Amino acid sequence: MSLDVLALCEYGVTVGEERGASEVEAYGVLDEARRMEFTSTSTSATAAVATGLGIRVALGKRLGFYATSHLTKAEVRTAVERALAIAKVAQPDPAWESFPTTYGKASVEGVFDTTIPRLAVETMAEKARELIEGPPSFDRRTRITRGAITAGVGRVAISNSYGCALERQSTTASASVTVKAEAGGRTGESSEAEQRRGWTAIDFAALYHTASARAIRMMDAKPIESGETTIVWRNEVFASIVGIMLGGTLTADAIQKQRSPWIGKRGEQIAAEHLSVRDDGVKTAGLGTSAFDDEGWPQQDTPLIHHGVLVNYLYDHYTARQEDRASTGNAGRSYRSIPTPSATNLTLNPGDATLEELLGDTKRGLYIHEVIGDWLSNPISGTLNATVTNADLIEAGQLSHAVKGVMVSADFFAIIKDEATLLADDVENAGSTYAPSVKTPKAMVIGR
Amino acid sequence: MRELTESLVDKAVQLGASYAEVRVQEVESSSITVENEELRTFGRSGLAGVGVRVMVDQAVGLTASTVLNPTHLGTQVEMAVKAAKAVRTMGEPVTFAAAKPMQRAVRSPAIKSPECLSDAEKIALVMDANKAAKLPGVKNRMTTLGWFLDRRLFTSSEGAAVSIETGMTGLAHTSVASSRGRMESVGDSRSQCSGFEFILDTDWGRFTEEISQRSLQAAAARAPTPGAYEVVADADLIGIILHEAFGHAAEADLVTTQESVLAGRRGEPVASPLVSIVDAGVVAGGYYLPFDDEGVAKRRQVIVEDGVLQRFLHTRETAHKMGVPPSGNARAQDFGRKPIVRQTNLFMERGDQSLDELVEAVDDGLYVCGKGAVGGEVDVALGSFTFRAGPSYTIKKGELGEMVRGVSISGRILDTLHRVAAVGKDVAIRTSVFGGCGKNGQRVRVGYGGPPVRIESLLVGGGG
Repeated sequence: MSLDVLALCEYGVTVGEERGASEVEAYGVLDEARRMEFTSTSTSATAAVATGLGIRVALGKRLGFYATSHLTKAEVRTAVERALAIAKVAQPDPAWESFPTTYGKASVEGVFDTTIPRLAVETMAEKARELIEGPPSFDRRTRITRGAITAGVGRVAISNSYGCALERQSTTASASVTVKAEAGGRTGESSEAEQRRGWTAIDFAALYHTASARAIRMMDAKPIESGETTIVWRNEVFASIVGIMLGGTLTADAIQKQRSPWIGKRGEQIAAEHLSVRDDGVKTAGLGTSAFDDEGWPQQDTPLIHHGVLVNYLYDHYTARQEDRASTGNAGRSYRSIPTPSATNLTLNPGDATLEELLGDTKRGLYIHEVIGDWLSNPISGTLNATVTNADLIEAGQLSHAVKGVMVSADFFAIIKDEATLLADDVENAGSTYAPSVKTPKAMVIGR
Repeated sequence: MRELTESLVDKAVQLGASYAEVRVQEVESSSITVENEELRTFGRSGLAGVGVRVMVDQAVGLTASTVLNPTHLGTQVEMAVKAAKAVRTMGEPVTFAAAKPMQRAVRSPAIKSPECLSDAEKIALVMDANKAAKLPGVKNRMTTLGWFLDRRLFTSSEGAAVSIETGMTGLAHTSVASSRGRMESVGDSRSQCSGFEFILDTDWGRFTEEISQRSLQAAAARAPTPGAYEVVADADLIGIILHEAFGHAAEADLVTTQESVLAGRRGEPVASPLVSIVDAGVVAGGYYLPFDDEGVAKRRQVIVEDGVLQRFLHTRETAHKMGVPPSGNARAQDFGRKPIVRQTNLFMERGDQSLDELVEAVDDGLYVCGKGAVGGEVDVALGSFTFRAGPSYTIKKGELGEMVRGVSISGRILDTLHRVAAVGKDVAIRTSVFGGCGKNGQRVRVGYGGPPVRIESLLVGGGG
């Protein structure tokens, strides 16, 4: 749809200045999304438009914020007044300097797929049909139980009272399926999902093939005994874990506010020498890639752990100014919140082994494909816990049988420090976090 | 607004919809966050939008927008009809179970409005609560006061017109403590569907100080040895167990697709005979849900009685599929999303034992606590659930022992409820202004709770 969000942002800035704000920033969004949701018994299609604008104002060092979903000039004026009303009663923030006084853009590629704005709902329906009908044609014992396909265009505009103004647009597409296999009273289930910047980057057939094959294998899943064992984590599973365990605690905000285990550790060896983690805000077609962050600062590729040494944190403008540094381009927000340092494409760099080598060199261990509850792990203490919903037992380098119904528990800080932790070369993403498959020598598996 | 919704319903019907509903929502939310005695944010936001769901040839199309322009919304209705037509040959034809079109306007109870305190007074209240948590060894203290007013209007081509106004407020606090180089974070919150009287009548300094003390103890505590334990789950935690370990599996959308381990088990024992489970739209301490997002009244329903599964939770679509009346459990995160089957306030009914009696019966186990719990997740098909409890305690020979940290618990839905060996008598039901339960990418607020219970065996992780 047609709506000049940047013009409304600039209008908000002008109104704020007229009403006496010493600084004003307006951040607006316009998202258009289509979603197909289906189960084995029903399908629905949704087309949605979502708008929003967040206004930050400063009265000297007093700050106020108001956000609205209703983008009209009258509502923007109301939003400015409400933000000012808050600023008037807020305590001054002695550390406040200013909004960014310049904006900038990095060069990025692959974040906008021109197919998506023109994507017909009928085309998405056809793909949904392919996902629904795919599993039984792959193997008659399998059927889809649920899935979803989404495609969307997001636009962001930002401006402030230093005369800065920028706009960007991007696309995302995703598909997910859950497949159930059933035969002779035995059942197995598996889920697969892909999220990409481009519609054609989604491999729909691979989704249901992988999920169907794994669901069939899970029909013969057995529990295993408790004990300490080697784990090979599938890339997408480990990517999720990296995001949970490092994404929040490597931000300058967590460091400055004393809620990170990495306080005072810059320059220290916190991981094995062969481990490197970076936040690549300009990765081609990355899900967290943008030309500029949510404060108008250019995104960049920031090394965080380099050969095991903690070398940097993630900064937005505010936290960078506390340490007299430049932002790393990591301001993240929705229109309903103020920016805070956030990872863009947090990436555990790959190693040079293949996944097959990691598995083949394992005498006995667990190859974990799917977990639930990993987000319940504790990034401050390093305690990693997850319930394994889909895995294979590895015996003498071979996958011997499927395993389900076990918990896995480990010290993530020890995992990344361990020289014996091995990295594969097969980087995949869980949301905007990227990691290869990883083999860790010691974790506690709790079975029945 | 009624004129707009009626015109959108009329337009959908003119375009060939056999059924149309319009959901209008306005939410005004506010929060104040103080971190280490500095005001971190004071923000407010308004969200308003319209969602339309239509049925064409027994296929469902939806549309939603925050652009409240009648011409634009008319175009969106056309999109919804087009979307329905695009999927009409996919899946089974959709039929809604009959529901009496209700015409009601209701609001949650409130005595004092948020404006009874000035903004400056609200900041001072949060600041005082944050100061009270300052203890040696506590590195970070973050306190948030949140409140919102959510107005929803549901109208349909069947003549329903239900408006619900829900006000809610609460306070959350997290303390991060350090002991011998190990850090631990403990957070907790208290919320209520009420006016600001809840904020004024609670001793928040005591609440936050206790969290700090707990974070200090937890940082110094050891993790339990992973394994299977007999546990007593406290009243704070049993609600999370029940919500994850049973409630999701009782949602009929997962039953009709044969995903749930409870599919086909109505009338069968699914829990110990000591267990009775209720889902109710309005209950003290819970979230306020007298009607669902299909305009259906949500009443108190017994889901499990003396261990036997009596019924599932339904939308109108799943109720038709299973040939039962709708249960008032169709809930959408907001106007933009499709109503799906969700729990409202799901809780276990009281038993007859005191907490002391529950603990005394355990020879070697854990007293697993909800204060500081992070939440949980379930795989209803496998029947596995997991959640992270707050700092907990060992039980040795019937007595509480040392605190243990990092307690994660995992189990199988049916096993766990069958292993309930005793049920306490003091029921507590909770809800939260700060978050909710996620399903299919939608997050809704729920109520949960029950009495403390003793469970014969649960897997406990907590290495590291």
